Amino acid sequence: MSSDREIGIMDIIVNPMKVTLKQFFKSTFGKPTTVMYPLERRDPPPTYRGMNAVIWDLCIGCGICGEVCPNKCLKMKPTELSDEEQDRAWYGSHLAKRKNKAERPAINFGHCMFCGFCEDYCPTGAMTMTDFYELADTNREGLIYPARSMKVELEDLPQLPLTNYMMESPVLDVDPCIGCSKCVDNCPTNCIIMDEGPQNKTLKSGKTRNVENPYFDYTICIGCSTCVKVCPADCLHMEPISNSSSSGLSEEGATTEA
Amino acid sequence: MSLFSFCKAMAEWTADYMLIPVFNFQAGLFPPFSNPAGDIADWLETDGGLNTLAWLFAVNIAFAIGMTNLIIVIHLERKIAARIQDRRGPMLSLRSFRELGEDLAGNSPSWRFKQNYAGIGILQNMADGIKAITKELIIPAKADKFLFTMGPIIFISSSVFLLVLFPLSDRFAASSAPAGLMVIMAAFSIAPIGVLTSGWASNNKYSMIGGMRSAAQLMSYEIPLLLSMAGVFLLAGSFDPVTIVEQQQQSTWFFGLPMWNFIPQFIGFIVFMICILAEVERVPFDLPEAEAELVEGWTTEYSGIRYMLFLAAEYIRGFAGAAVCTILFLGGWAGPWPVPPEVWFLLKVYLILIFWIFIRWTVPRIRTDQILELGWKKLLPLSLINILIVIFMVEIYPYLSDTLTLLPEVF
Amino acid sequence: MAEMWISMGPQHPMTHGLWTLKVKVDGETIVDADPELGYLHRSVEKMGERRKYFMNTTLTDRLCYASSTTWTHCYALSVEELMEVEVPQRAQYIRTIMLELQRLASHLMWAGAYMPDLGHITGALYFWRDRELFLNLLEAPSGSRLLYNYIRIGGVKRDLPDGFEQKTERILKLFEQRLDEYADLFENSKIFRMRTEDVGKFTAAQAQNLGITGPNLRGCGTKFDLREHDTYEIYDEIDWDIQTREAGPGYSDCFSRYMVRIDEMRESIKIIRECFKKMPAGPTMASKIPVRATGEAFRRTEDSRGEALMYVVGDGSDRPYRWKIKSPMFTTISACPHYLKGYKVADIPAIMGSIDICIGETDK
Repeated sequence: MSSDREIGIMDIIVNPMKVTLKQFFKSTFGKPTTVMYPLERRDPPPTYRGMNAVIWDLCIGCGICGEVCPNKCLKMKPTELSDEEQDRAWYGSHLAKRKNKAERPAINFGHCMFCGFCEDYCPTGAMTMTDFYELADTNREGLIYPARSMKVELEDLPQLPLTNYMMESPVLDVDPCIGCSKCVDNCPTNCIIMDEGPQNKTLKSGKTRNVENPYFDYTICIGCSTCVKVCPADCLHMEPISNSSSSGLSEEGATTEA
Repeated sequence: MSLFSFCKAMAEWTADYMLIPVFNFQAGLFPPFSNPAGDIADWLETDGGLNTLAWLFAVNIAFAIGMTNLIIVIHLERKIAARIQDRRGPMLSLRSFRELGEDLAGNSPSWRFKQNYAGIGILQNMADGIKAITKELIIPAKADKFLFTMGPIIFISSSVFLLVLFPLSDRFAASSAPAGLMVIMAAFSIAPIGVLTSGWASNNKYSMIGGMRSAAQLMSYEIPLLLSMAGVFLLAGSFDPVTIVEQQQQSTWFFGLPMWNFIPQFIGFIVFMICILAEVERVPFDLPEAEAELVEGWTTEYSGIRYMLFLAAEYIRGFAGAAVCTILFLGGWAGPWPVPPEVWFLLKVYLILIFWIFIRWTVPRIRTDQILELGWKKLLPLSLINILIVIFMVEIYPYLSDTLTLLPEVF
Repeated sequence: MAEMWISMGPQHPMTHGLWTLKVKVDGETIVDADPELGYLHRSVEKMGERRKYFMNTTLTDRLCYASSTTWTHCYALSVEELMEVEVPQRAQYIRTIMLELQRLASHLMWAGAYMPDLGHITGALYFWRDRELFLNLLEAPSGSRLLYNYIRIGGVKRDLPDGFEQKTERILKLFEQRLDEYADLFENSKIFRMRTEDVGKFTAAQAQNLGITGPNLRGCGTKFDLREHDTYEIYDEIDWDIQTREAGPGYSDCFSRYMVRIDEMRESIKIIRECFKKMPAGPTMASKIPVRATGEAFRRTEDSRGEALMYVVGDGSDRPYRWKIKSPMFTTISACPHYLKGYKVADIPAIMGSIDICIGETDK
C-alpha cells in the first residue's frame, strides 16, 4: 500500500500541493467536471425512472398500478374515451366499451417516489416511465397530473402476453355464490365466464333456483382482485398461484419482463 | 513624483479653484460674525490646510486601491478554489445580463446563450455584496448590544486602517512614518480585542470558544512573528519600509543579483510565513472560525453586512500580511526596470496570496493544542536561531572577515 | 473557564444528520458526552407492517440514503428465508456486484463528508466526484440515482444492461488510479495525520462490549466480517480477504478507521472484477415468489457501516406481522462517550466523522 511510507517534511505542504496543482492545470486547460445544467444535460440511461406515461391503447383499466403503489399516489379515474380511442383500445378493453366510463390512472407527483412498481406490475406494459424528470412546479396542485395528461400514443404497439405479476389469482367458494355475474362484468381481461353450477340452490332469501358459477381462465388472469372487490356475497378470495390447482400460468411466464 | 506631492498639487488646485471661492462666496452671503466659512478659506491657504487636504486625497487613493485589490483577491480565491476542485466557479458577468433580459421576456434559453456563461464571474462579488447589504442585521436578544456592535467596528476599522499604512513603492505611499512596519504590526494586533469582544458579546458558547481560541492564537503567534521580523530590522537598521527595501537591493549575491532577505534569513522567512498565516487566520490556522466544530466561531451570531465586512476584513488582513512579507523578505517593489515598481510590488503580493490560496484548499485544519505547541515549541526557538544568525552576520562576520583579510599582513 | 455543557446539534455540521451531542467541556477538553437520538424517527417498522412484503423495499431503500442497496438486500434476504425462496445463481452474482458498488459509493460518501470535518473542502469534492461515477453505474441497471429499488424479493429487478461490464471496468480502472493519486493529498499528508492519529481510540474488547461492528471494529485489527463469517450470496465462492488495520496492539484511532475503509474500497474492486469473471447466465428472478408467509426469520448482513439485522414475522397475510431492524450505527453512536472523553473540542468532528454516521438507519 502506498500509505505505508515514512511521512517527512515534504508531506506538510509540498506533496499534497502537487496533487492540487495537477488538478488545477487539468481543469483550467481542460474541461471541468461540472455540467452546466440548463444548457447541458446528462443523458439518463434507458432504464431511467422519471415521469410516468400511460399507453392508453394498451391500458385495460385493471387498477393494479394503484394497488401496488406504496404511497397510494396513483388513483384510477373514470375517463371519457372518444370513439377513436375506443376503437384503438386493445383486447380485453371491453370494459371500456361496456361501461360508459373507462378508468385510467392519474398520479399525484407530489407524493410519488418513483419506485417503479406501477411499471413493473403492469400486466400489459401500458404503464411506462420516461426519462423526463423536470417536474418542479410552483404550487402543489400543479403536481397532480390528470389521467389524460399522461396519455401517450405509439406507432406500433408491443403485443405482450398478459402476465400475472401479483402471483395470486381468485378462487371461488361455491357455497355463498349467488351467481350474480358481477365479477364477469368487471373483469378487465375477460377471463371469467359463467357456467353450470349447483341446481336448485336455496338462497338466503329462501328462494330456490339454479345458480351459475364463475369459472376462471388462469392463463389470462392478471390477479388484479377486482372480482374479489366487487363480489357482493364474499365468495371469492385470492390465493397464491401455486396453490390453485387449475393454474394455467407457465413458469416462464412469471419471469419474463414486461 | 511621489504620491504625496501629486496629492498636494491636486489639493492646491482644488483649494484655489473650487474650495476657497466657494467658502468666500458663502462668507459673503451671511453676516461676517459667527460664520466659519471665511476662516476655513483662510486656513486652506496656509501650508497646514493644504497638507491636510493632500493627506485626505492620498488616503482615499490608497483606500480605493486597497478595496480594488480586495475584490480581485476574493475573485481569485473563488476561481482558483473552483479550478482546484474541478469546478467552474462563479460565472456571472456583464454578458449574463443578456440572458436575464431573455428570461424576463419569457424566452427559453437556447444554444445561443451558452456563450453567455463563459464569463469570468467578476460580477459575483457585486451580487454577494448587494445580497449581504439587503439582509437583516440580527442582534441576539441576550447579547450585550453595545459590545456586539463595537466588536465589528474595532475589527474592521483596524483592518481597513492597514490599507493606508504600507507603501506600494518609495514614491507611492499614503503615509511614510519612519517606524512604518511597527505601526503596521500595531494595527495588526488591535484585531484580537475586536474578536474577543464580539465573541464574548454574542452570548453564545461557540462564539465564546472561538473568541478565546482567536485571542490565544493571535497572542502566541505575535511573539515569533515579531522576533522573525527583528532579524530584518537588525540587518537594515531601521523600521522604515523604504530603508529595508533599499538595503535588500544594495546587498548583492552571485552575479550581482540582489540578495533579498529570504536568502540569508531563510529560517526567519519560513517562521514569518507560518506566523503571518496564523495572524490572518487562514487555513490551516483558521481555528477560531472552524466551521466543522464551532460553526464559524466568533462570527456565528453576526448577519448581513457585518458578517460580510468580517470576511472582507480578513481578506484585507491577508493582503496586508502578504504586503508586509513582500517588503521584509522579497525585496519589496524592487525589480527590473521597464515594469513600474508598484506593479512589481503587487505581483509579488499576488504571488504570495495565490500560494496561500493553494495552501488553503490543499491541507486540513490543525488543532488548537497543536497550533499552540507549534507556536511556542517550534517557531519561537527557530526565530531566536534566526536572530542569532543575523547577529552573527551583522556584528561578528564583518569583524571576522576584517580579521581574516588582515591575517596575511600579520604573518 | 468553568466546565459547561455545549449542545451540538440537531443543526450542526458535525452531526451529519439530525441528532444532538451534548458535550461537557473544561476549556477545550471534553469531560463528558451525552448523545441524543430520535430526531429522524419515521417509524419505518410500523409503516412496513401496513404494506405488502414487496412494497417494503422502497422503505428499506430510504433507511440509509448513502447505502440503500445493502439495506434492501438485508430485507430481501430475511424475507426470502421466511418464504423459502431460492434465488437464481445469476441474480446472486448481480446482487454481489451491486452490493460492492454500493459499498464503494457509500464509503466515498463517507470520505467526502469526513474531509470538511477536518477543514478540507477539496477532499469532499474529490471524493464526491468519484462517487458520481459509481452512482452512474448503479443507475444503469436500476434506473435511479439514489434510491434504487433494484434488489427485489426473489432476485433483482432486471438483468444488467449491455456493455455494463466494460463500463464498470473502465470506471474501476480510473478510480484505482485516482485512489493512488489521492494518497499524497490525504493519508500521506502530515497535517491529516496530525488530526487523525491517536485520536478517538478504543480497543477491540471495548468495541465488542459496546456493540461496535463493521469497519470500526476492523479498524481495531479484529478479523470479523459477516460476508465471511455468516456468509450470504456468493461471497464464499469468491477469493477475497478481510481488510483490517490497527493503530496499535488491539486498538483503533481515526486514522486506522480511515485506512480500513480505503482498503475495503480496493477489496470491493477486486470482488467486482472476480464476480464479472465467474458470472453464469440464467434467470435473474426466482420463478415462484409467494405473497403470503407464516413463521419468522432473520438474516444479518455486512452493511457498509456494520452489522445490519432484520427480523420478520409473518402471520399468513400478505403483510409482515412484525418487522425489526437492528442498525449498526445506533450502537456505535450510543457508545460515543467512551471514545470522546479526554479529547479536545476540535476532535469531535474528527472522531464522530470517522465512525461514519448515518442517522436515517439509526433512528429508523
